[in-house]
Amino acid sequence: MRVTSNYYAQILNSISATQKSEQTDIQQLATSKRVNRPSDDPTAAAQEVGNLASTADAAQYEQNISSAQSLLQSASSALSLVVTALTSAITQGVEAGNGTLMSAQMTQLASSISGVRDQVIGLANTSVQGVYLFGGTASGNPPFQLNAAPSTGVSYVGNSSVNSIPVGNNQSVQSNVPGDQIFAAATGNVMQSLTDLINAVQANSATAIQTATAEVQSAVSTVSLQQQIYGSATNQLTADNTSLQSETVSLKSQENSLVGADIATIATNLTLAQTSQQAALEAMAKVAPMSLLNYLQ
Amino acid sequence: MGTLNSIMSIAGEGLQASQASLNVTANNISNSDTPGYTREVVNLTESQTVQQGGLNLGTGVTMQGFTSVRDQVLQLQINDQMQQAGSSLAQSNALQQLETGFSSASGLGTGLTAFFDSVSQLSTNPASSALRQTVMSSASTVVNDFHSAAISISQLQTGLNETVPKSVTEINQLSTQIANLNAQIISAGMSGQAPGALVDQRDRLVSQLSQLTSLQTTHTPNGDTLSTGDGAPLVVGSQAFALTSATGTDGLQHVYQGGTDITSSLTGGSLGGTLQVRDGELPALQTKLDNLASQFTSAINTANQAGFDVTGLAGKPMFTTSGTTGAAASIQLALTSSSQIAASSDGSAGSSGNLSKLLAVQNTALASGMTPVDAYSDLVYTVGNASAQAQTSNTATNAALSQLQAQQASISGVSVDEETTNMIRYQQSYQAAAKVISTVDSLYQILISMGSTTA
Repeated sequence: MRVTSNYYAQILNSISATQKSEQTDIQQLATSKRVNRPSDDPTAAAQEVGNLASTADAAQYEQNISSAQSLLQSASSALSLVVTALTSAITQGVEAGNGTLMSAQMTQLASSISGVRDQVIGLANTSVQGVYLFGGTASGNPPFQLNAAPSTGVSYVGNSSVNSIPVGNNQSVQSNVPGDQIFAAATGNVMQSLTDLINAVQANSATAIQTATAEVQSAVSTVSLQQQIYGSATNQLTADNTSLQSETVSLKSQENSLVGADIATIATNLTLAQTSQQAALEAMAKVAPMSLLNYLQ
Repeated sequence: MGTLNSIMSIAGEGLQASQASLNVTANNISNSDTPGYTREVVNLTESQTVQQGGLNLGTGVTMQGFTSVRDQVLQLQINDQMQQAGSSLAQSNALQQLETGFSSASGLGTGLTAFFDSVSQLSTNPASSALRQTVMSSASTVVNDFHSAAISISQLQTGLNETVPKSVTEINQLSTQIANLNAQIISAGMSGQAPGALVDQRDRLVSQLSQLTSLQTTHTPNGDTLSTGDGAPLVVGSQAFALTSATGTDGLQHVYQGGTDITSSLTGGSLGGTLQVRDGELPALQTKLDNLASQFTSAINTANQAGFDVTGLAGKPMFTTSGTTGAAASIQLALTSSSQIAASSDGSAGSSGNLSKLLAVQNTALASGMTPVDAYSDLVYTVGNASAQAQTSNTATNAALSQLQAQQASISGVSVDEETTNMIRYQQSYQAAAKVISTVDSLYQILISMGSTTA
């Protein structure tokens, strides 16, 4: 085979090829990513789309969980205060029922229990950021109002609907318990029992006071039962949060193995490219000045 | 026996042959770096012998001219590879531009996810106007993302379309020049001149033409015949046939040869690559994107219409598009206020029941059989794969091309060392022939002074 000065072109080709591979290596090192554009690895790039979506979803679910937890905790602590208030009403009911009190003291107790009812109404109207926690989905206004007309003495203007908050793929948590279910249940009606107790103390009827006190006691267990719903939801959320965190970690590691750069390999490749570029340059420097003419003087 | 005169004339021919050879060597050396130059060699033959006294006597050397050392089959192979290299380069350049619009880590994919996440967040407080506003702004981000994806396709299509008439003009210029050279080569051949330089020029132009378009070359005694892929002639002998370009019914530039639309048959060269991306990859992507936009719109609209807004009114469509074709470019946010987001399933402002319907769109297959994010992921794959294939094919053809070019250089290229060696050879043979002449001359002197007295 004849050899002509075309080797200049070949050396240039090989220098530009190694430079291109160096550029790729440097870009991968700089971004720590093996796939910087879809054509670098179309399959991985397409999978990365889904991976990033799942990662963003998981972050949102974690945020939702924290919002849900704060709602549930506010509701739960309101209910704890309701139980405390109802317990004090029971104490006063027992005091009123032992038949040793003067009528002035009875009036005082009646107004004190009425104060307890106001406090319970206030707690039932607890709101977080403008949302009334016990109004069902009609949560824009205070759901409980004093109203002499119904026998319960309190009217409920909320509804019986519930909301749920998504906390995972096809997974959601109930974020509220409607107020009528807690404070106006068929058995253990909180508002009814307090109103009955107030009326009984005012009427100074020992039997009525006893019955009403028992009603309040039954109301306490209703409220405690509902409070447990919040408690177990909170526990569920804590578990969900933990699993989301580990999901995020595994998504991150998937992402890394999909499109992440293997730094050690790239660094090795870069060294190889540099070596071969250096070799090409040295070859060029040695071969280029060689000519027969140098030896013919 | 040969006479002194015949020796003199033999040596004279030797001088001429050496001079002619040196001439070729000088020309080769001068053109050693000229692109497209094919080295020449001198054709020397032994002159006819004469019979004298029963002996065959040599009469010297005859210079029959020079030949360019070329391999026509190799040249055809190179032109073939150049068509493929031109085509894959044009495709790879175009598709790489498109890749930036279809990234995995930005654009529509993240836009869609952010939209669904904002809906998910609204579930935590459906009456909150701040959270509703977040949904509105993420919805308009989705709209913008659809627009910019659609624009990145249509802009590229427009850009590619604009290059078509330019390529056609270039092709026509080259065809005309090649036809002229064909004519000159034929007439040079008839007048007995070596057409090497003209053929070099023509081969260079044919190579340039190969980079532009599909090309079939046939060598004929009347010069090269060139035609496009499906046989539409570009050059026949000394005649060039111009291509024309005009806007077709689809609003894109089409290429015509004598009234026939040959657009779809052009696959090679940069024009072929451009047309393949313009008429193949881009419309396919556009359709996928439009389908996604219209199917996403209809799914979200159905979900929003199933619920009630803040004031308890029935939900309205959230997005509008004008038809399926062009849906991605025409999609708009139809809601004018964040209060119109139909979060409620029971008509009360605090209900988030209907948001689960909106959220369900995220993980439900659309009519395309894919969820919205999967459909975008499919677009990313399609763009990435097309671009990667074009790049791979370009790298492969370039490697093949440089092999062929090395082979061609080995046959037709000038080796300065070889020419230097030749130069010394011709110099020495010139010196030797001159020495013969001076020897014969001294023999004449002896002959003339024979018989005369020496001083």
